[in-house]
Amino acid sequence: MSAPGTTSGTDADLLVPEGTRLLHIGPHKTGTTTLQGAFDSNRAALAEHGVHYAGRGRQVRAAASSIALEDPSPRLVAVGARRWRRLVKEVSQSKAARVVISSETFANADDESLRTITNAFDAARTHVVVTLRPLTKILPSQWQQRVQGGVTDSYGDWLEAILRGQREATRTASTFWRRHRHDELVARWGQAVGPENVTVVVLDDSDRRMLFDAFERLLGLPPGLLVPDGRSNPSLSLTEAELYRELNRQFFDEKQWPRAVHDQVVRPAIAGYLKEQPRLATDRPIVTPAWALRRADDVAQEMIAAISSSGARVVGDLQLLRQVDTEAPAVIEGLDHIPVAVAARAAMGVVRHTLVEPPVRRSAGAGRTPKATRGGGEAKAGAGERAIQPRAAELTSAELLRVVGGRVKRRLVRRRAGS
Amino acid sequence: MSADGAGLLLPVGTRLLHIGPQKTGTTAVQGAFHTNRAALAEHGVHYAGKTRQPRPAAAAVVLGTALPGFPADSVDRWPALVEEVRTSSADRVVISAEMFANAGEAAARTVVEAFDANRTRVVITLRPLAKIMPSQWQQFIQSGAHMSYAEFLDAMLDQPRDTSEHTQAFWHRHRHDELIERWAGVVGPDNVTVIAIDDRERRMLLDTFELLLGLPQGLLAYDTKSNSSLSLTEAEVFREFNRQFFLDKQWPEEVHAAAARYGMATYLKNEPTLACEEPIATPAWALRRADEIAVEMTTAIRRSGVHVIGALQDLRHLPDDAPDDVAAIDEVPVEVAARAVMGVVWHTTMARTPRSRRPGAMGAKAPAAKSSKPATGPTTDELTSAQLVGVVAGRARRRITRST
Repeated sequence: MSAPGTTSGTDADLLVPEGTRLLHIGPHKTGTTTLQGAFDSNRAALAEHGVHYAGRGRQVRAAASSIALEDPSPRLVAVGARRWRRLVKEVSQSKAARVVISSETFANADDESLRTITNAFDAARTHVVVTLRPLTKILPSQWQQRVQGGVTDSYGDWLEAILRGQREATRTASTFWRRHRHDELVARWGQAVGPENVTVVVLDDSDRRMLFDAFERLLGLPPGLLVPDGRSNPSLSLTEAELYRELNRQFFDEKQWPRAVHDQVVRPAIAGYLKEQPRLATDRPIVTPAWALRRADDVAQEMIAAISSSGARVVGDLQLLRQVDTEAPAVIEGLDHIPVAVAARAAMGVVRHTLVEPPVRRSAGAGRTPKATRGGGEAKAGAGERAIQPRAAELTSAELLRVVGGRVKRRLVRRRAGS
Repeated sequence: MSADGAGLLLPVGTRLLHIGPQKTGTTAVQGAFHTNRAALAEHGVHYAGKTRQPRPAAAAVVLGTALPGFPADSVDRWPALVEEVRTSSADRVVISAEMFANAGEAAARTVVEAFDANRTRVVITLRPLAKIMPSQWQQFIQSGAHMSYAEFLDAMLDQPRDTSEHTQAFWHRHRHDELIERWAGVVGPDNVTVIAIDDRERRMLLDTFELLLGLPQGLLAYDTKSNSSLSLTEAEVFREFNRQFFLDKQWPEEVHAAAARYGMATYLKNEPTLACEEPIATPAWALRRADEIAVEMTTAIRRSGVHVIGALQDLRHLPDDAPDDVAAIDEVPVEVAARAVMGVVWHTTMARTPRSRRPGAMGAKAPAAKSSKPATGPTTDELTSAQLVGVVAGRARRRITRST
């Protein structure tokens, strides 16, 4: 590409100077989960090449939320503020040649919180990376993500609000465009760190390694060092999303059950389980209607023009951000019926999350559970062994359920032996 | 039944033992007795037990074990029930549990002797076999089966009775002529009363019990709870859930009891029926076969010498608009699908007193993580599997409560 600001992309061009804090801000639905997994699972190899991946998990979501979200939940405020302080300290004390901080939650930041973030990491040493995919591909994935979070709008209504409504008229539209008016996102961060300190990476869906290659060049890593850890954040099918949407309606509108139950049970339990299951032949994809694709393409053209002249560095081909499916239907409809298999899977997800493999308790004392009682379910219930049986209160939920599972297995063995 | 009901009144001192069987309006009758205890007492009638029905006590004597989901010592409720009946000073005592219909001859004899054979009148309520088929299928589904309705009908009506545990259990309860003969063999035909229920008359069953017990007309009233059935739509979601649960994942039965039977099933039955739900329709061939059996049964019951109230003819049910075949449902309305999921969420996180947390089941405290004191409470082998599942569910609920 020869457009102004576009690099032809030799390693030397892209490599950021020593001492740089490379801040990857997403936005959402641009391969972030895969990229973060590659960093998180290759920490030792990164360290050998002078790169420090900040935080302890796959991404620093809680820390970023406490700064970048408009109204984080009370739970996030408590946890997130602590994590944020810890993150800033970790970055400022790092002796690595380059530090990487990644969370798509940073893309939510308004001008003020954005300054707080760049100042905390030292604006002079911060280089911002923005990863981009076509708006037309982001639309369906963002909708199903919002549905997982509790939204009850149909895809059609949601598209109306985003693409035909006033940007500030609805929370749906304003949140979406803050993240996905990509030219403004680039300009906003460019103002804080200087446009030359922003790199835009345009993903190429036909080249899976493209994203890894770009980060390896930015950080001076040997080619091929970053490898995926097998996790990604796949989207729900339309079938699954429609079940979720109706569940949200019953949950919030009909029953008015508490938000916390949705956040902590419904969302992780069902989405997590569904995404692990193989796709069903009956699953239908989320299809965007022609009018919305056209409108999104208009926006994409505006964004490409503005990014080209923004002064930010661009890796990849901005034209890839235009993608219009010519076979798109004129209108779309929601689903009235879904396969029983999908319904049952969702219920199975809740059962697993609450009763079969509940999340490990992470309270302060959980680690004190005596080692000797772990796997108590395997202990034979013979005479004289009663004294060493663990008390139910000492075991984690997962351990208690293993005890139950062990009993069931023994009963089955006895039954088979007896028949 | 004679118009004024004269001659139905049972002698003072009688123990009226209602044995069901399942799916004959038992839940409604038991509710009427349970919720009208004070008024009953004023008229010399004692309804035995403390709950709607003494199912754990009946299971103890019939099955010899505690029911799934109940503590091991719930078997002690049988001698307690016998003692309650024996020491009652009421004119008439009523004991009702459809579990008794599962008894073999020996267990039936034990039961009758415990209540005093000379004073026991066995009451058996009957509905048409053709109407019992769909109810019984969805009941099997609630307890974890994953056979389709067509497969169920084939197994019950087209296969030998000893084909499986399911077929044996079904016919033990629902070959009604044999059920009657079994109990008549123990107490004598003259001490058995059969009530052939007329579904068109809603109060028929309550009116009959009032006459048997000498109660003023209208004293017994239905409470709100009935053991309503799942629709076909609901049952098909449930069935697929069972398939994934037991075949794909092989998760423990205790978890199924908590999540599905007390969660999904209870929730679905409490929600108003949706217009999009389909009923469980029995195909013509099965209705014909059930009717043949009904004819055999009514003939045998007529000859058995037991008291019959209502018209045995009503036990035949042969509608002429039956479908030729039944097809399983692959797709269901999203409303029903979402309700099934809501049911599990409700039981595991929202319900205040789920089955597994009733007194006696929930012995253990929350993990002693925050204190340095040694943990107290029962050890794992002192708790049943169902109780352990209950502990886990309780923690899940508290986790959420804490963080709201």
